[in-house]
Amino acid sequence: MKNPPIGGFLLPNSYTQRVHCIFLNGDILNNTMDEHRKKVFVIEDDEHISKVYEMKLLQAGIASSFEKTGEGAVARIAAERPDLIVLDMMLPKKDGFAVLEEIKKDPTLAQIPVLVLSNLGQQSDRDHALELGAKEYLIKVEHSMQEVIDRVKQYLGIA
Amino acid sequence: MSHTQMKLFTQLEKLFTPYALLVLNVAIILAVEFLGGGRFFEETGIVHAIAIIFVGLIIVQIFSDYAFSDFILKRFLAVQLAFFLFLGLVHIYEYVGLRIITLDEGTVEQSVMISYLIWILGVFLSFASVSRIYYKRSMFMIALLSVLISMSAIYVVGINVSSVLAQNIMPWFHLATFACIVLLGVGGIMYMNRVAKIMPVFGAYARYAKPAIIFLIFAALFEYFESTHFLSAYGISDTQDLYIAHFLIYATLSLLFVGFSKFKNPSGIYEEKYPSSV
Repeated sequence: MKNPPIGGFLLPNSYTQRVHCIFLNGDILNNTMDEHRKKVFVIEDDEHISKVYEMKLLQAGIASSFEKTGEGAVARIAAERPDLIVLDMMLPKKDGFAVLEEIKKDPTLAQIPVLVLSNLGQQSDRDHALELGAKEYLIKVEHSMQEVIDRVKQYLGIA
Repeated sequence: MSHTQMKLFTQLEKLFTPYALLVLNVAIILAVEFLGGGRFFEETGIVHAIAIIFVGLIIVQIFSDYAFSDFILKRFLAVQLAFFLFLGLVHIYEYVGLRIITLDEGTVEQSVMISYLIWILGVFLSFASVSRIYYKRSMFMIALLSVLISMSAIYVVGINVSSVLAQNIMPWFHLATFACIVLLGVGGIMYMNRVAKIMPVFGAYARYAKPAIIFLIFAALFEYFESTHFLSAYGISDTQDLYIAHFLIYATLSLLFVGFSKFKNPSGIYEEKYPSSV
């Protein structure tokens, strides 16, 4: 926990899961130390899309991490324990299906919901991803970024 | 490329809407058919040199900002754009070959036909690089296509460099080349449909690329007629035959230009842009 500014003290709020910084003059600085901000882990090799994700998630008050390839993704997910994974299927070196399968086989990671966002549009791809344990399969050209963010918020339980 | 240059290319591209390209093509047809009694463009060879307008447009496309930067789509675009530029440059070669270097007409016609074939093989190659994600045997197809493209390119260079080779082009070779263009063109359209089903992001581009292939097949047909003087028996002069072949290829290039522009503003999540100032 960070130190409060001089002249203030910390007041944890167990209801909101936030820590407020109370100044001695009575001013309250809210959300200064939000220790339980929801976190999304995005596996996406398209830099354009990743930048837009980051911007939109930040605007929505959601923390995010990014990984460009399938290879290092699972290890990072194990280390970071995100609340939600957004997964592209067409990744260099190790595709999204292999990553999804690996996540769902790991009992420590299997409970993390996975939202697939892909350019692959066939029903067989959708069915395969859902069989592997994805919560939902969205096709990139059929859903706006705002729709995707709304889905993310829904899975994170954010209004 | 600097931000200013990118903005300039974006502005240039905005001028060439589908309607503007339609007007351009109609203007070309009217100018070619009616200026100088309808023979000026043929006698001066300018009917070939008009291709430079389209080469300029292709260069605009090459240096434009596309919506994606993922590895598969970038690779597809790189291959497609390279062959698109090649197709545009074919008619610059035709002008230089016929008017400046004064190569043998049959050699130039055969080179143009083979170049159309190379372009269609390039379309296959770009889509094969996408379908690799699905089908392992695409690696074999990519290798085969690369060999065919290389052999065709070597043949084109060969007939242009060696007069012995050029003089010994078999008469049936023109027809065989045209037959390959038809078969591969139809195959290319079917392949494009399949890949557009696998990846809907190609749908908008395919809507323009498929008629472009059809126009190219007909352009090749009229090139073949020109080489055999087939239409003169029906009262259609070789000049008119030449003009029709070029109108068709300029329509092909126009359709491809519009098709590529669809990759800049695809629907869905690609509609949201990251502010360049951030």
